[in-house]
Amino acid sequence: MPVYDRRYRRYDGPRVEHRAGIRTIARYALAQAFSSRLALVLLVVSLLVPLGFAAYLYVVNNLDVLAAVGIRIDEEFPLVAPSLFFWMLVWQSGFAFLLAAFIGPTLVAPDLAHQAMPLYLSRPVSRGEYVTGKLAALLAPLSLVTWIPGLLVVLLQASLAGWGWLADNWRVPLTLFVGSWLWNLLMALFALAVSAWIRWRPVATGAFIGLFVIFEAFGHAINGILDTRWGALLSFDDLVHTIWADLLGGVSLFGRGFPDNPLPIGACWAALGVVFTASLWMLHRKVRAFEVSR
Amino acid sequence: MPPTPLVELDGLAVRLAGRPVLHALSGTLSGRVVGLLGPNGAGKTTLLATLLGFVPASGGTARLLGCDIRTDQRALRSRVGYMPENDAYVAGMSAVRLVRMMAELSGLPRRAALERAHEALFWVGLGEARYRKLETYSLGMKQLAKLAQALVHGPEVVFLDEPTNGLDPAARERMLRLIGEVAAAGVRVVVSSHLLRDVESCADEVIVLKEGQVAAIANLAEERRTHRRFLELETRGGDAGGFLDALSALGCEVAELAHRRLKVILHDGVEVRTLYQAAAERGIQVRRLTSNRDSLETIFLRAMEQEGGAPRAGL
Repeated sequence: MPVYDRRYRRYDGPRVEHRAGIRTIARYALAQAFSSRLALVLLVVSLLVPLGFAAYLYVVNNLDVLAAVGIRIDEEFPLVAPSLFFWMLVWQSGFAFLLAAFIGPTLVAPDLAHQAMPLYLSRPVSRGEYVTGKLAALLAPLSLVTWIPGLLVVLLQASLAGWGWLADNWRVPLTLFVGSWLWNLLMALFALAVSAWIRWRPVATGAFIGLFVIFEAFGHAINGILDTRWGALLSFDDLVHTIWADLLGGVSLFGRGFPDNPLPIGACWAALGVVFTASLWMLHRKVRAFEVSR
Repeated sequence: MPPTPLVELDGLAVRLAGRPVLHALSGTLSGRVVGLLGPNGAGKTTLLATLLGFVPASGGTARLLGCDIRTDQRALRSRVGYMPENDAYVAGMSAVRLVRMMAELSGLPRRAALERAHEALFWVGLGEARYRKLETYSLGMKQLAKLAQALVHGPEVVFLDEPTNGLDPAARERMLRLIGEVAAAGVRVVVSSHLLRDVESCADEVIVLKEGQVAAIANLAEERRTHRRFLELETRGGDAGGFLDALSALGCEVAELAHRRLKVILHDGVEVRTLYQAAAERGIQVRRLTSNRDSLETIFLRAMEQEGGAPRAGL
């Protein structure tokens, strides 16, 4: 159109298939989230641990490198026990938590704060697709710091130690993959739900971190006061660690089982199910184009 | 060929929070620009929200562009544009980015969406401000940005909810001119407003809601045509008798009032310009010529006076 022609004209060009809406929402949400340098720095920093871990695996699988620098290690010592991957996952889940706290509130809150939902939902985009798109925008960076580097590290270990190691330790990649997805989904859904209810971004970030800490502290207080273990139902950390340890077939810390005095595994899954359901309900209540005043 | 009905209401009822808001609305709207009128709380926004699929119908149904709003909602949404009444933008996003995203969500390829976003923003007059974040816009600019996003994907019908709300006179004129351009480009428009003058200036058909019921549906173009035929003239000088004869010869019905005032009913095919010509030829000065211009106000007030908002079509 010539620059001087300012008349309105209809669009009669090609259109893409409707399902592209999820991708579009995810792409714009990701770009919006990573427009902050802090988010980018956090993402890069969180990849340093798997890099260090990969370096460690390379070294312990090449003991002659250690011998060359004068370090001799008993070859019977289990340098690459499955628990090691568990602790890497624990460490990376911490970064995933920070990323979710930082990025999560930038996804839904800015849309709800200024009533942008009708703009989205008056197009061929359903509420489910909107939430899925936003969820994908958060799950992508969380995956980048959890199961993707985790599985790459496992592949590195298998290639260095021989593929027999992978056959003997098949629970390791399973735990990394399933465990990471469980944690990431928990973080992503909870972060979106909080940001849907608290529309001011800094407060939403604070609430996300605060709720985690409060639930954790409250759970431990119940355990301490009532001399029970069921308070752990309020601790997302404890629930997820119990499930990870179960997936891995048991984890030890200083010769003792971890977590200490765990809850029944079914109770942990059920508690997470409740959190997922509650988060979805919170999103269902708030992500709508038309709010009805009662 | 008669135009395809824009909206067909078939006993459409809506309940919100258990409370009936729209009561079995029925009627057909076929205008190019349809005005949706009614006092606050009459159900205008709820009707728009229902047609857009934001709110489910509790009874009856409606057809938009011939498609059932209950079963063809997804297909309809790529053919529809919507400009909400309230502020609607994504904080931290520039206008061009928001409009481009909305175009992509409506199914435009990425490159075309970017091109159309720039075009739409230039068209509404925000070309120079298109890279600014939306929260820095004035109220008028936000209204224009909302209009741009509603039209960027080239919809067949656009719903404008109170488009002139809060605008100063210049901005209001601009908005009405843009609406006129959209209609001239072949887009059908539904304008919800409580400002009669705004609706009258752009709509050719109106639906008036009262307490969740259809109080009136009227073809404004027809009303205007009818009312334009009633004129009141005040004349001075010249050959008054000859002028009356000339008017009668043109087929006009004339009634003489005091102080050289005339009431004239123009027949089809006779334009006001012809009257001026006839007056000039006889040395008559036309000091004042008024036509009935409050047709919409009349329709609206008549509709509001009805008991209990009883449905009444074709006033």
